[in-house]
Amino acid sequence: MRFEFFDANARIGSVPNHNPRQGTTVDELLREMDRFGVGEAVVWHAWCNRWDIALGNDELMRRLEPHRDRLHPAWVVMHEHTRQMPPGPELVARMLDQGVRLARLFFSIWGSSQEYMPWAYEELLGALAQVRMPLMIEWESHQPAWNDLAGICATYPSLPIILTHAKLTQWERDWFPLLAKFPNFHVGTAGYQGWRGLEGLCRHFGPRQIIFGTRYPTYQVGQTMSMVARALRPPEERQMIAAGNLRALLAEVAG
Amino acid sequence: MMQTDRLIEMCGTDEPLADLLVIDGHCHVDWWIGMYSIERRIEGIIEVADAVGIDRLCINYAACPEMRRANDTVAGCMRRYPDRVEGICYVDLFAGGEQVQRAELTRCFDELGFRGIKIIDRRGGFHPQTRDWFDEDDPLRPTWEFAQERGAAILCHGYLTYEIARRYPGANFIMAHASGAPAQMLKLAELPNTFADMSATSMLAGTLELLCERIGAERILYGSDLPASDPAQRLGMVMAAQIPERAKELILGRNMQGLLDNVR
Repeated sequence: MRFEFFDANARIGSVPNHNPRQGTTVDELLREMDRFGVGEAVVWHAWCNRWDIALGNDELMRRLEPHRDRLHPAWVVMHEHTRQMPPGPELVARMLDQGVRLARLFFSIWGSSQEYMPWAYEELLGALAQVRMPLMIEWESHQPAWNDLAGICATYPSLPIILTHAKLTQWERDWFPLLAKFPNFHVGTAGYQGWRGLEGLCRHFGPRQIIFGTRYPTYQVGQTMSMVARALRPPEERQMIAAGNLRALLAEVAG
Repeated sequence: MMQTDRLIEMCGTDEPLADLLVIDGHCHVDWWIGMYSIERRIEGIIEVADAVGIDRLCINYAACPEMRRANDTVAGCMRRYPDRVEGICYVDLFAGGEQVQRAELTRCFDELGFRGIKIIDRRGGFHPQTRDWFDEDDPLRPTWEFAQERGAAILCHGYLTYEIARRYPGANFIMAHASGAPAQMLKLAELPNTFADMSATSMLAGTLELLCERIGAERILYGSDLPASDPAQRLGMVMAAQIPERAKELILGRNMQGLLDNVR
């Protein structure tokens, strides 16, 4: 059986120390999607966390404009207190106006100590939660702060949270409880290589909270696809992971 | 033989790999060093191999605290699935000296049908420590000599030095996880009896392509390190790689088949 794939986690734009084997342009992304049979992707721009968030989001919209049938923008967001971003409600209104249905938030990046501070993020996260816009969260340099994730999920139960990449098998004991406790917590497949990991997740929690994402161009696309396509679960569950769950989350965004 | 572009297209399907020989060169059975595992039985592992499209699995029981018990467990898997399981003999660095090592290797190869070796340091913390010298009193000397006599391949996590591989040209040496240290791997790869397995290597795009360029596809082995990780993920990495069709065939099975067939 051939599955339909919808990638929740793709990137364009170059990063420092760029690996020349990894694509940076829309054309390269589309070629890779065609090569593997990935129908659609949600995309963010590398400038957002290596240069300037707003410039990166603007550049993203410009680059994706001719391909909005297949490529969907994800804006990187941050709290408003440095004035780099407008206040949460205004930012979310702009996103909806421009057809953005997914937000991304980075912690522990830029060599700085950007951590989750509940009181600093309440306006932004509250605005996202109000329209149920999925928020992908990535911890760049070390393992996620599990208690912070739990705090966000508990405080904003209508806000779908997607951890970009759960990565190591050794982390399963940490994020399995999040899936069990919080229906709004989701985990991305990028880089996940747990032994029968998808089977275990489906068996314990059902397939709904697993979101297909490749982390293109950092990770190779085929390795994640293969794990989903060849999981020992019914085809309908694999299809939910490959595309259906993400599509459902995006469809629930109000406005 | 199957076309490479078809393999790329198949990343998104559950179709069988048909006539492509796939041997997972780096597998474990039973408990895995205290980690959570949804499945540890050989029956479950074979079920996954069927779904993923793996013909044969090279299995050791590295997490077991006792050498003989580990090898007997693997022997049981071989008896249960003789066409699917290749036994990889567990040799403990400090298992009791030269006679014990050689006796266990002889038992495993001659009585139980094992066709490969994995070195373990149960006393020192699982994987033997990487060394950068050659030691005339190397506690694993009996194992190197046995492998030399039999033409066997030894799965090494560290420990292996250029000098060891050079002194035993009749043995083959597999650098688990492509050694994890690029400079060391490239140095060892200068010798024709060294191989790199791709289990638990970097997941970054282009990793396998780079390995092929630097040491050649004929020296790379598909391996998953199951149940530490899922074999479908690594299989997809090979299927999706931008390398020629023949290179994928070598990596996925033919190279490992050659190492197994080399055993006398």
